Amino acid sequence: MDTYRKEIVHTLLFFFLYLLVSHTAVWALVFGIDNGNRVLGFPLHYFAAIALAWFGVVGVAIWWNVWADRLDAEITSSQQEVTHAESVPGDSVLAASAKGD
Amino acid sequence: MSQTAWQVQNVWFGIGISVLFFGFYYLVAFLAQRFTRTEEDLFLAGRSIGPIVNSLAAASTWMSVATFLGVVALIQQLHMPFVYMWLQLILSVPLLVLFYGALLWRLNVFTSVSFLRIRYGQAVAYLASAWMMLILLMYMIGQYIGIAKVFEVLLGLPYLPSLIVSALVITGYITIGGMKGATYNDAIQMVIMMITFVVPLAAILKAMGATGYWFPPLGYGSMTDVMLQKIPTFFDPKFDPRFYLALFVALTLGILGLPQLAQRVFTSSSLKAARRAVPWFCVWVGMMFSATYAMGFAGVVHFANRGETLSREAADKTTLLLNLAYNPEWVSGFVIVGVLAAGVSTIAGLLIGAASIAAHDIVGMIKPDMPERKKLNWGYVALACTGIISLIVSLNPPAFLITSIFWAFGLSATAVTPMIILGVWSTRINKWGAFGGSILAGALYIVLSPYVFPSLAVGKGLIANLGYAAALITVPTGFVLTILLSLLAELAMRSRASALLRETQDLLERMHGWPTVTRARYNGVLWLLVLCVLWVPVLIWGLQPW
Repeated sequence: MDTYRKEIVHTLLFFFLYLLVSHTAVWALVFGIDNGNRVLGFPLHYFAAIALAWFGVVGVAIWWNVWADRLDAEITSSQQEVTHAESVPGDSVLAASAKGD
Repeated sequence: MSQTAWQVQNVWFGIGISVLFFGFYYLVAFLAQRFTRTEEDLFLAGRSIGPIVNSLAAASTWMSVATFLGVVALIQQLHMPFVYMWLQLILSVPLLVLFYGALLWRLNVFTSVSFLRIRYGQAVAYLASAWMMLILLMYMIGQYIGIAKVFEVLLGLPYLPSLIVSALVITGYITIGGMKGATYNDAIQMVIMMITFVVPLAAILKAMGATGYWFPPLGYGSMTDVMLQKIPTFFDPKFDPRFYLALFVALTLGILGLPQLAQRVFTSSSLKAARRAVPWFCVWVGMMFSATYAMGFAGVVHFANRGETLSREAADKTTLLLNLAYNPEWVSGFVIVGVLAAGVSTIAGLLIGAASIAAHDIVGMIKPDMPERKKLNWGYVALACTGIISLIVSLNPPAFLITSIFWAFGLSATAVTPMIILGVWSTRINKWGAFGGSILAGALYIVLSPYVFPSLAVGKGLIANLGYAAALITVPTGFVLTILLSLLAELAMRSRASALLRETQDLLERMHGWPTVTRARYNGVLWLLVLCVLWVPVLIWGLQPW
């Protein structure tokens, strides 16, 4: 997968991962709840909801940081991928945009 | 239950400790003021903030008076569904940084309105400013009133003087310190909040017999059987799937449009610092939120054991009532400091967010060539005026401004989020689509709300009041209109749209960090049309009677 597609596909994947660990009501609705299954004394679905929306989100955020650093490095070294005839080199675009700010 | 039940008897201790902490906040603000020389220092802390301090400050901005009071009360009333509702609020900064925060940091903008001005031009920027000011004002008034009520109900002080004095004191220290003072104060306030909430909670759980009291956020599992005995349905999801879908549509997407959190990201010292702040933010927010669920749970068990049913007014004070029941009275004084820290840190973010939009974006559009010294002076004027105007509105607020802040999130999801997210990820979204989608969908959201035209409101009760019912119609409408109007305008005005497209391609590729602009990236139309199709079932579901 080229770097550009990777940026889009992985951003969407991380978005869905964040949703999976924090919108846990969906899990309860799909799989049902059983207050008899316990973890640390809590019903499993309650414990999972609280733990995922804390430690799960932290885990995804750390993973995303690692991925974003790697992606940055790939993007920075991606000049060789450029084949389009209209490519514009240099940092002039951001500088021009920032002027408007 | 009478009002005296939750009042701290030693009023002077409560007032004294509040004055002491506010004195400390002023000291930090004066120290920060010495390093404020430019507009960038005033509104973005000179882009100098590291990840730990920024994560604490962002978490503090995100925690409001509701974290200590309202959330615990609503867990008592709604049980598990409210926990589900609150859980996903941790996604605020992670999603914001994932989708656009880090990219906009690269653009060196002050606010998300600054980006919209560069991306779409002044008309869209003015429109976005209007929406954001409305949302920030609703948010801010709620916090000012909340803090005055803390003084009124917890210390027995008169409401009006409490409101005026507290609002002026808060506006004063934020104006003096600017973003740098507010950031360090917010970070300190987050630490205060964690200590004043979690430590007394451990003592409460211990007194209630919870075996895991030493780790309060997850230490109350041994109380589960008592809970199930008293309230067998506590853990049930209760609401249908549409309610939970609405949480995503109205809240998760709404948070993405909030300017005060985006601005926190822009204060980062580097792109990596902005990213590193995200996991730390989740650590702090996760701890506070989990402790809040624990306090709510303990409150339900405590009052169920006593056979008491709390009124809404009394339920709001559950944190105080539990502290007064299980801890020495002086502990409640510190809890009040925590509540105030939660309120003032949120106000700091909102005030600076609103003032930045007013002074930097709106004044900047009217007078683009202002000298730096004048910009700084305008910044101070904007900060002071924003605080005073919010105070004046808070004295006698119109009914629609003190509705639920969740309703404002729905407005943000409808009128602001589509133009930002689509504008960052697609070159095909243009100013015509962004303006048309935002104004039409935003107006529809207001029309369908129960606060403006009750006879036209969709849904009823809590679902309508929180804006969920309307958001299921208007958020899809906002996204679809933004996309379709952009593509139609491109077809209708080929030459103008083509020139704009080239500028946008340059901007977007550079924002995403590409060293060379190819004009071949972020140009796809198919995914935009697929997105429109995906929104259709949500829209149809939203149109069904609730």
